[in-house]
Amino acid sequence: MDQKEIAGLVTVIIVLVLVTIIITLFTVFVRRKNKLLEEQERTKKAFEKELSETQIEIREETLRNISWELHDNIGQLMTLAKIQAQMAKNNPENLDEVTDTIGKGITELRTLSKLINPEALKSLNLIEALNLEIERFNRLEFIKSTFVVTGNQYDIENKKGVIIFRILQEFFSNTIKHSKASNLNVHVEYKKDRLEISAKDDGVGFSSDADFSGIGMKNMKNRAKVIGADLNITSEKDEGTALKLTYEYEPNVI
Amino acid sequence: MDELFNSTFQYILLSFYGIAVFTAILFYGKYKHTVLKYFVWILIYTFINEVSAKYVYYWLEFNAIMYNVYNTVYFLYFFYVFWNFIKSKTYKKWIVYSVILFLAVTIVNVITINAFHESLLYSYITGACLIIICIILYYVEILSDSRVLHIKEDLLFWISIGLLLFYVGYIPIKISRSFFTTNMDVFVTLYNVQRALIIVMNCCFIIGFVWTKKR
Repeated sequence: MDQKEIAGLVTVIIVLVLVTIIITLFTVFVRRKNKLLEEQERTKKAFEKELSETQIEIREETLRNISWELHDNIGQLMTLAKIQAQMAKNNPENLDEVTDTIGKGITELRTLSKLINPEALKSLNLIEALNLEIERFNRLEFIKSTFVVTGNQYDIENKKGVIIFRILQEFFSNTIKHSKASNLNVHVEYKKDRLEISAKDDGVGFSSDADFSGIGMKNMKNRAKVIGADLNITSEKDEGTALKLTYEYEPNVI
Repeated sequence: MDELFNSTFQYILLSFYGIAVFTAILFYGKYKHTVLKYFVWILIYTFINEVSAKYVYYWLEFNAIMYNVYNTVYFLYFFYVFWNFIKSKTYKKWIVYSVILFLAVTIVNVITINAFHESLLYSYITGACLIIICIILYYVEILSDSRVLHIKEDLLFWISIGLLLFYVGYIPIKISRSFFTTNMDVFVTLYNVQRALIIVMNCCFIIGFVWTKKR
């Protein structure tokens, strides 16, 4: 083979190799990109699904709370007022008590109507919503609760805030329903790069693994995963149950 | 006719170098916060080197030393760039080893030949192969995270495409020219392929500068 042929051969090989490289790179990159886009689409859908379910659950919970409050609080006050009014038939000087009781009932009614106004509910942020929840527990004397917020508040995307709130609400309702606890402490800590929420009750707790994998728990874990948060629930028999949720601020755009 | 074609091609080549420098300066603001900001100096250096090498050759009758120095600087700069852009600790370590290997080969090469008159072939081939490996590492890394979604706007992606195509094409030319040639005329074809490669590389750079977006 003379040198001219070698030169020609080398040229052809180079051109072929380069064309192959370009085609391969193009295919690999486009495929990978499409796959990633599909994945993102899937994550987004999962997030939206969780979000809408969460919103429905919060609404149901709110209705349940209203019925509770009407029955336990305002209902009781009205019953009391009725009895007092009946007693006042004989000694009218007691009518003042009736007025007082009815006044209390009206105040409670106002508070409740303010709380369940959808516009007000929508504009609440995580802290305000949690605060209302805790206040309600104390007011209705379900459980003695404390709520502490430390650090500089960071604006968390509303949709994610809703999901975090629902996780905590689920925890609270478990505490109230099953734990027989008398104290509930909630601490929200805004750190430099993440949000840490810890909630602890002093109820009966649970030790069996079966309880850990209940549907409620699975839901909570799943939701934490959807927003990219880390959720840890620990419990000891007769010691109480503790929840720890860590959410790093905006790691990826959904 | 050949002579005319040759000199025209040469001017076209230089103008591509020039356009690359021009766009690099024009869009400097888009990438000045990354280590690629030094790339504009590398391009200016390339342009000056290419233009002056010819005159130096007329004047001193050798210019290999200019290319030797230039290539060494060029390779070291790109090792630095990839070391900087790649996040994986393992890959970073590999790049450090690459630099050590490259420097070792270069030093041995400088000792064994006269670097003023001859080109550092072994050093060049080692450097080019290692740069190709760095580019592949970089691609593997961007393919595995979300950077691949905005790949078109990534300046280093375009630069590395240009480098990859150039080196993959140019290494065989360099080798065959050193080992087979006795008669330069025969290799005019290869020389033209080399020039075409340079134009393709500069086109990639230019596209990169135009399309890149500030992050």
